[in-house]
Parts: sequence; structure tokens; C-alpha cells
Amino acid sequence: MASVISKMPGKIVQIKVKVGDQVKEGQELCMIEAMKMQMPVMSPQNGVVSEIKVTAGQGVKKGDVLIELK
Amino acid sequence: MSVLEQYKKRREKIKQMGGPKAVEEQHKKGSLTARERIEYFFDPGTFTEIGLYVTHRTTAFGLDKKEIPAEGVIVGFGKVNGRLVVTAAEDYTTMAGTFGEYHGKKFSEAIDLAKNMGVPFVGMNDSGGARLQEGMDTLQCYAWLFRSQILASGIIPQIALIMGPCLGGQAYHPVMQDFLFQCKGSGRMGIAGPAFVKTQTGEDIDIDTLCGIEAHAVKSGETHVVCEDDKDCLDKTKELLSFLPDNNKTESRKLTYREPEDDPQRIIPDLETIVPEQPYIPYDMHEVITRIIDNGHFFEIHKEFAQNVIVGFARFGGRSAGIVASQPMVAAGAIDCDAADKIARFVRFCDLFNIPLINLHDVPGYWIGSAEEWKGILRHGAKMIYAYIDATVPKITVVVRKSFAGAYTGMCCKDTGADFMFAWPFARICIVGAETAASIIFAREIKEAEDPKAMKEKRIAEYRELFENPYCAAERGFIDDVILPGETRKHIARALELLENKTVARPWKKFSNINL
Repeated sequence: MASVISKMPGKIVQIKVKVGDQVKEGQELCMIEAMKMQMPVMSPQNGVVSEIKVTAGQGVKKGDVLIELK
Repeated sequence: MSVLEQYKKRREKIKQMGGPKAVEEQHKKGSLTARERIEYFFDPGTFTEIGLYVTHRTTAFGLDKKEIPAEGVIVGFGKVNGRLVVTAAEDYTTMAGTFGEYHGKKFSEAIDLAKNMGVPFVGMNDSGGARLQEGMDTLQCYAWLFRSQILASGIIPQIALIMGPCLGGQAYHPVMQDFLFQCKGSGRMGIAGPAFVKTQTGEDIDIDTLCGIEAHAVKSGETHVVCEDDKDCLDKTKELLSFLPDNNKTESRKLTYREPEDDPQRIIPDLETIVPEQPYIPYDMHEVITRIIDNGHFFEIHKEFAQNVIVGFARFGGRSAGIVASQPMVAAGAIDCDAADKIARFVRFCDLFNIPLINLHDVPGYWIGSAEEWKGILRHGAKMIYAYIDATVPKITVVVRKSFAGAYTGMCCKDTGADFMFAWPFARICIVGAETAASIIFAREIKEAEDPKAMKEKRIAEYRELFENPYCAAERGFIDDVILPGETRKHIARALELLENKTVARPWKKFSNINL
């Protein structure tokens, strides 16, 4: 189990995985845009996407949980 | 026993510190003793000890019968890579290195000595805290220590090495020095340890979480350099010292010079491919820094803290310089409260010790939004602006890819302190980004247009074409030249050479009222 959290406030511009996907450590899971920059959010570990807590276009705060892995 | 035999015996006894058992305990923790640290740190045979025989005068609680060799702190001077350094090394094997009256006197007088002789001071902290048996005397000597170090601040570089515990009021001492190194595992620093925290606040927390590396190198920002162990810590201290002058006198700057093995005007063709032209794609600014400096040798300060900006020491053409750079791959490289604090303190250190500053911009602005607004981004951001404008050292700024809004001025443009400012050809320098500007200036026109989306895109493109480039700034002389990325090192080297004898005259005042 691992929660993928946002390291900065911003807007989710793209989600690149769906529930049930196998993901590898360092794989890009989604993209956050803020302050003229698009920051990829990487997977902290190998695992399976168990829940996606955000949708494209949504605003997030620093520290918000974006995706759950198991 | 002859006088000389007595002399030898007496010295040998003191040099055994807390005795073999205590030394063994220290080694079991993976730590060196104070005397071993000194031996490792100084050039062989150069260390001179002062105050070996000093001892306490306490009689309470049976302390009159207790011997505390060298008062639990070894003080002296010696050479580090050929240059003089004064040290005070706390000896944990001797009554846990506790800070008593004469321990404090030795420590603070060591700083006075370093200040008066104009040589750097390195403190090796490893102490169980205040020697409570001495009551008021131990409290007063903290005041001596703070006074000595603050009066020396700005005259000599002061480096604190947290190699063991440093808890309570004593922990203000390392924090108030210029640079703080902390050893993983053994180095623990805090205003209070877990037991005190528990009784006073009810918070249950272990010492590593409260006072360890993560606490200070990442969270509080009090630790500048993380070290694996004692030897790594002493090696890194020597490395940092090589970039620093002995004191704040102008001529001392020459001591940091090393004959360059790297052509100061070297062209770097691959710089063009390292930075993506599109302003929204992140990259690692370290890749730029290590290419433009001498031999790629960069000594980073605050590596784990506020990683959206990078600060550290390097050389250009053999001359020591401070680097301040945006880091686009962390939090967009935008400046938040912590990043502003990190930059401001670094800039002020460099200014105090005549170290030129090189600023690399790829910065969209200061962080906006409630979280940073309420933390006080304006007053924290102000520290940078104060620091740069107050600084009289040579300052050179290069806009790598973007420099917008307050951050353009906050990270040192020409009128906030830069002697020279350059920009790469794809740099975007402007009050705000085209999207923001167009949506404000043409709000009504866009709203009332037949096709608002098309109109918005048209106006954004117009604004971008007109203003989002380096040439508007260059036409006004706000930047000195638009340069090819590969020629960055050459331009910095030439500017630094010209600025070597820069002088600044300003009307007298006590100091600027920086937003603390």
C-alpha cells in the first residue's frame, strides 16, 4: 500500500493510468500543472493502482492524495 | 618521580579523556572521540592545544572530587590544507561533554581567538547539554558563547558540526553559525529532547524523528550539509573551507584561488540540448551548473531543503563563487517561503565574505495561493530582495529559460543588484506570462467575441510574440546581451575578471531593515 501525494498545489492536466494497472517505480502516473510548469507525478514503488482520487481538470493542494497503490 | 615524569604523567592522564571504557562506548556508537576527530581534521602535526589543564571549580553534589579532563572540550588551532583554523571539540567521553562554566569559557574564548586572529572557527558539537550541577554558572556561560559567536559573525566563517547530541538552549549555538553539518544517526539537535517534550506537551515522539536528519535537513532547514559519519563530516568541512576566505577582509578572498585546470572560456555545446525550449517541461538545473563551473566541482548547501532552488559554492577560473539557481524539476522552480529564506541567507553569507554571486534564472515567480500567502511569502520573499540589493559583491545573472514577475527582481536583475545580466535566446522575460496578461487586458473583448476561445488564443499569441522574449529587456538595456547557451561560462568568466576590483560607495547607515 502506498499513497501517491501531490508535492505542489496545481491542476491535474492528465491521468495516465487506470484502476487495476500494474505500475513500476518511477513510472509517470499523472501530470500536474502549476506556475507555468507541467510536473509529472511518478510512482514511488512497483504496484497496482487501486484507486484514483482525482480527475483531469481538478485542482489539488500540496499533500493531497492523488492515487492509491497496493 | 621527577618533575618531567610528573609532567608527562599528568598530560597523559588528561589526554585519556574519560578513560578506556568511555572511549570504547564512543567507538561502539560508531563515533570518533574528540581527540581522534582533531587528529583526522588537521594537517598532521599542526595542532596546538590551548587550556589542557583548565578545570571546573564546582563543589556541589560531590563534583569537587570529580576530575573532568580538559573540562570536556578540547580547544586549539592548527592547519587544514595549509590554512589556519581554530576549533573547540566537545568530548562526550568526559562527563558526557556537559557544558559547564569553564567548558563554556574555553569554547567562547576559542571563538574570540578565531575572530581576533581572523581565521575560521569550526565547532565539533557532542555534548549531553548543560552541567546542571553548576546551576547559574552554566546558564551564564551560554550567554558568553552566544555573545562571542555573534560578535564574530561576519568577521570569520563559523561552521558547526553536530556529531552527537546538541539539545536545549545549547542548540542555538550551531544554528547561529554560518553552516551546520549534521551526522546521520549520531547527530541530534533540538530545542528539547523527547522526554521534555512529553512532559510539557504530551507529544510522544522518538529522538530521531524529532531531532535527526529528516527533521533538520529536510523540514526545518537548520542543517545545511548531511554527513554519513564523523570522517565524512570532517572531509566535507575541509571541502567547504577550501571555498571560503579566512575572514571578511578583501585580500582574504585571494586565499580561495586555485590555479584553474579548466579553461575559463570553455565553450559548452551540449548546453543547448539539456534545457528544453518549451517553458513547461522540467529538467535538472544541476546539469547546467556542473557544466559551466570549473571541473564540475559543486559544493551544494541545503541540498535536501527547499529543493525548488539550488545554492552552493563553485569556482570560475579558479575564483570561488556562490551559485543561486532555480530548480525547475521541483515545484516548478517557483520561490516559496523556504526557498526565499534559503537564498537570502546564502546571499548574505557570500556578501559578508566577498564571494561573488552567479544567479541562474528559470523561475515562473513566487509561489501564489493561500498556503504561501498565509505563511508570509511577501515578507519571506522580501528577504531575498533586501539581500541582493544590499550585497556589494560582484553579481552576475543569467536567464536560462524564464524569469517572470517578482522573481525576476527577487533573484537579482540589473536594478536589484546584478552587475551583468545575460539571457539565452529562448528566455522569456516579462511581467507575467502571455496567458495571464491576455486574459486580463482583453477580458471584455474575449468575453464578447463570437468565438471567445479563438480570440483568447489570438491575443495570447500576440502578447507572447510581442513581450515573451529576451529582446524587449535587451532593447531597454535591462539585460546586457542575449548569449548562446554554450558561451555562458565564457561570459561569466570575463565578467568576473572585470568585477574583481569592484568597489561600491554608499551613504552610512546602521543596516537595512530586512524583513526578518
